[in-house]
Amino acid sequence: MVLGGLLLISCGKPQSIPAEWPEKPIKLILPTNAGGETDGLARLLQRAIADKQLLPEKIVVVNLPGAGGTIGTRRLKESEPDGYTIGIWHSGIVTSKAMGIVDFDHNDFELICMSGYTELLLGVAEGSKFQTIEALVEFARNNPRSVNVSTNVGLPVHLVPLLLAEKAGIEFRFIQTGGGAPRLASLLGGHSDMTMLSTMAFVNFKDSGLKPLVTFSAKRNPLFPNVPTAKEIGIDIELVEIRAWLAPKETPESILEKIRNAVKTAMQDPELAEEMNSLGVIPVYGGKEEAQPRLDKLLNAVMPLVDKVRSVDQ
Amino acid sequence: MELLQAFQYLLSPTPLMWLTVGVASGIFVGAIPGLGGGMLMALTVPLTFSMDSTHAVLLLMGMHVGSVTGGLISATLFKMPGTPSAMMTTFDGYPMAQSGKPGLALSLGIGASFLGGLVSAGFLIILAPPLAKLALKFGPWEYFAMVLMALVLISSISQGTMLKGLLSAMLGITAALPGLNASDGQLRLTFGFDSMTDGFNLLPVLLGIFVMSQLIKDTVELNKTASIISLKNTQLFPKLSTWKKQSLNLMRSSIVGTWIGILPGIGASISSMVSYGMAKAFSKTPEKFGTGHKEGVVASEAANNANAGGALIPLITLGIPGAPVDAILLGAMIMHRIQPGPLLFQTNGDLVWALMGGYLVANILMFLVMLFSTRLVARIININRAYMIPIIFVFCLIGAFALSNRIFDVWLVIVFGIVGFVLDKAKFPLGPFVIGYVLTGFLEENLRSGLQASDGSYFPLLTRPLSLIFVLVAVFFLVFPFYTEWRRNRKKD
Repeated sequence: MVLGGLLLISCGKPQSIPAEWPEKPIKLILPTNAGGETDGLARLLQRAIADKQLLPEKIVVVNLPGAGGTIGTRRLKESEPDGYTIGIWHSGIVTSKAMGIVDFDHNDFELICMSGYTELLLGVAEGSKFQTIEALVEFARNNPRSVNVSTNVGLPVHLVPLLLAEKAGIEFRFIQTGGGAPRLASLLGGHSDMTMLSTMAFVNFKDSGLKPLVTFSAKRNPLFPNVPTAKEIGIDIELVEIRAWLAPKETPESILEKIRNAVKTAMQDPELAEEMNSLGVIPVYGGKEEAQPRLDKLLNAVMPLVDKVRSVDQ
Repeated sequence: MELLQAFQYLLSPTPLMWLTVGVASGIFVGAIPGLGGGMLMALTVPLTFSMDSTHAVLLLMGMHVGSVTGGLISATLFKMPGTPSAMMTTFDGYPMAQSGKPGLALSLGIGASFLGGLVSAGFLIILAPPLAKLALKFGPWEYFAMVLMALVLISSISQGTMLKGLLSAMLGITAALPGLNASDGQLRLTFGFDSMTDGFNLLPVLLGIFVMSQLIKDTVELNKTASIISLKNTQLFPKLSTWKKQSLNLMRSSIVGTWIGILPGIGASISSMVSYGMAKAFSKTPEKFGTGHKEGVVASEAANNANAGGALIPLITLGIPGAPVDAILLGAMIMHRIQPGPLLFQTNGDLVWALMGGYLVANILMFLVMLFSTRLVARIININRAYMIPIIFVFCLIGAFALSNRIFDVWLVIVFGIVGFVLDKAKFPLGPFVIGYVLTGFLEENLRSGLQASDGSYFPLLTRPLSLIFVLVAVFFLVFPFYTEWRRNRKKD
């Protein structure tokens, strides 16, 4: 009797492949090293999805760092669109194209969803001669190329301040410094005047002597109520750094929908939200319809800058 | 007082257990060429989510300390650095082991590691905040000038002809050029191959040049009857007088190691290069370096262990990792909601002291573990290489693959292995190759950052006091040998 029932159920299953997905573990490509912020985020979500059994199979995180994340994104782009290889990346997917390192952007992938975002702020060292963004812009206007901005050339930390300079009609001097830690050291040691970091860095390194000047978010951050938004000072930029889930082009929509649901449900857990907060990621889920315009906007903003970005001094 | 309380805590069973587990696993992984502390730590971080935060950090720190030291075992016994930072140890440790004193070579390295660790622990506990502030004064020009000086000090490292040494260094520099160039964000010398966009990474290049080439050599020479090195009457531990003679070198190497550790973004392998170069420059017998000289082993091992303690200084006081491996430690701390920085001393003073004390205890544990196993470990040298080669070969490839999950890196190991083997056969020294390779990227990036800040002017190199000092030292050591030679010749006339 029981056997017959089982037989019936298994016969009744639709035979199309997507419906059975997933039958084996899913590879989640991370174009960055183990141990960083995006890696931490991915592992938190992986654990949450496994704990709640939101997908019948495991998600396996595969770190593919290198060449500004393009080693990983390229591998993802070239993977089979069968739903067994997906990835997470940030707006580097747009900026790498602007730099000419790759010839693809987010439109060459299926955009699944976004799992949170980080806010971007420009800041200085506490004792800096620039105590407000207005003072800095004013100074830069009168003294072109005299404000040193430590950066990681070709990545959002380079392109976003460049965008600000364009819109404000000023010119910065960009100095290749590297990741968040060296940039912070460069500011505190007085080797550069300004850099871009996430909210979390400004909160954590407040006591090390880091001071935010301007945020690129739509609203002022409640943690820094005195820091104006770019729009308030008349610079029309509104950007946040999203964490986008991507799949190879032509991955079936039904699979993408299943992943969306898993991520969305996982992110409703208040405990996970708190853990994401402690990583500095604002735990807001967004579907494709929310992620797409943000990346489009950044792409449209940076593509006109292409010649400027590729001709960094020296 | 707080420090005593910290020790009381550290010596209670659970923290001590985690530290010991960390140190022992670190030594084991560090000794295997291909696997390293960074890899072990990155894999362990997710496993520590449910652990007590202090325990987790102690476990990871133990792994770091253990792995840095573990690397000297294979460097000494097989001429294969277990970790990149043990690279300089191969130059003197291996010849010393081959001359029938593997136990002595090992225990010299272990002792130097231990003392290097102690010195840096002293700086960490007593002077951490002011030292971290001082390190921030180092900008691109200072980095560039310091490493340039080290390069000059080290330049005469190669055995054999100067020409071959220079050619080998140039090959190493060439290997460092391809890939995405950080300074302008553009691709360079990738010849259109997508897999070349990340260039040749440190780990596969080192594994190839040092480990794979040695494996090939050992395989080719397998039928030559290897002489069994008698360990019966060999001296196992250095005499006290040896340590007395090395005390100046030990202190200098430990301080150099600690300082380079404190500087953000510069790792343990460069610190052992700099201290090796300095030891050689200040030595009365510089010509003996590279032939199994005690000073060489001491300089390399004291510096790379001191580096680990030094790197904790900016990490704990400012939240800035002093070396790449510490970025993993920082990541783990943030996941455990510990934010290192000046405030940590006030909000969580116990933890700060536990970390600093933990580093000291980890070094003591490392010393004990290594000390008691030296006799046993030294015997590995007589195991038939036919058994060792396949094992090391496999780990080598696994390690290369695990770095970034790419088969490309595995091929790199093999290609660079063949390159290293051919160079070695043609009597080209491999040291300059690797030194050229390691320092090129660092020098280029800092020089170009400096030039970006100065609008292309080289003057800051001479107008900034610290960089001026480094340049003067470099010039002195560059000119001095010619001067002495000129004087000697004049006397002859």
